[in-house]
Amino acid sequence: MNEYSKLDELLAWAIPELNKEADALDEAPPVPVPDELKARILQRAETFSAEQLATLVLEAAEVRGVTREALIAEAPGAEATASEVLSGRTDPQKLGAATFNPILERAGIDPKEIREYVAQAVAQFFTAPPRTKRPKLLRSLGGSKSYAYNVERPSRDPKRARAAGLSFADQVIAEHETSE
Amino acid sequence: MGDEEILDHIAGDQEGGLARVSDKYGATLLGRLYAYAARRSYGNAGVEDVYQEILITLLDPAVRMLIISRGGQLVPWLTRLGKWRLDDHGRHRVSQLDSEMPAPQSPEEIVPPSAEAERVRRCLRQLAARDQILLTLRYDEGRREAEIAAELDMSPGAAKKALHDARLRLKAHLERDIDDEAIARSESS
Repeated sequence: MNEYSKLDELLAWAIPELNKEADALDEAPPVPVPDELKARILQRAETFSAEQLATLVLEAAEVRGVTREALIAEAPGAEATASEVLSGRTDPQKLGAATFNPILERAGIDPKEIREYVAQAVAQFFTAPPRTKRPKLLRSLGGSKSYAYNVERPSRDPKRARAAGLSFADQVIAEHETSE
Repeated sequence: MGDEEILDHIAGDQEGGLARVSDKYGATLLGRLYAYAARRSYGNAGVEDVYQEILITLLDPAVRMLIISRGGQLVPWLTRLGKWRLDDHGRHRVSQLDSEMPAPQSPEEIVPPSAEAERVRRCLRQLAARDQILLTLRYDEGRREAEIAAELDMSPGAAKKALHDARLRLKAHLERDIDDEAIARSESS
């Protein structure tokens, strides 16, 4: 038996043994999630995706020896926005696909590889445009337009947010393919 | 809303998606994590942090893709990940059991792992998450390289190499662990 198959044998026996022990605890009594903990998680979720995208870009650039300043210089005239995007504080859409793509290229990233990350970062900032709606009562009474319309509060529509994110990610990919 | 729908929801609305996970499975997961921490004498100080960490992993599109490729069930994935994280946190912590923690199952129901299995656990937890996943798929679930390649959307060649590399890294950790133990033994005797 060579060394490799000895290791295989050890793993084939030890890993299921460990998981068996862990799974034996799965009938534990539920513990309610404290409101404060849930709030903390949602607060983190609020900013996570754009920060994750920024980290991906900066780490890829660092591997190639490209600095943050060099990435920002790829966005002439939009340096402040580029800096904000690379800090994870601004929607990458604000840069536009034609400006965001060169930043990714300089970092050595093919936008196709991070399509989902770009889409999610854009979705993070998405709020549906407010819709105007006539209340039923006034509509039936034929109320004047100025009183009959109200404005809904902006809302998060996951499907529209995702569509907006994917649309921008695909624009960046198209820019990349054109520039190749 | 099913688990795959929740994962889809997260892609477009991160807070809303995680709120759904927390509402639907939070109490179950937190209960399991407290029980595991109690069983392994980690104390309960890090349990809420681990719960937060594992929910936040769902914001990573690559993690969601992996969960979907493995059947899309959230609770088994989050439970396993939570236990790994607790092992990471607990390794460096010596603490007493909190009397308010949910009681673990009685000891006779759970057979403790052997010393060799404990060594594998220690070393496995030092690997990157990707290596841990690969080795678990191979050795816990008995998947063949071709199946792992299909699940993780890799070429069969890439899966074979990744598995080979993960094994080598684990082997290096195991050897180091054995050496450390031998040194500690000789110093104490």
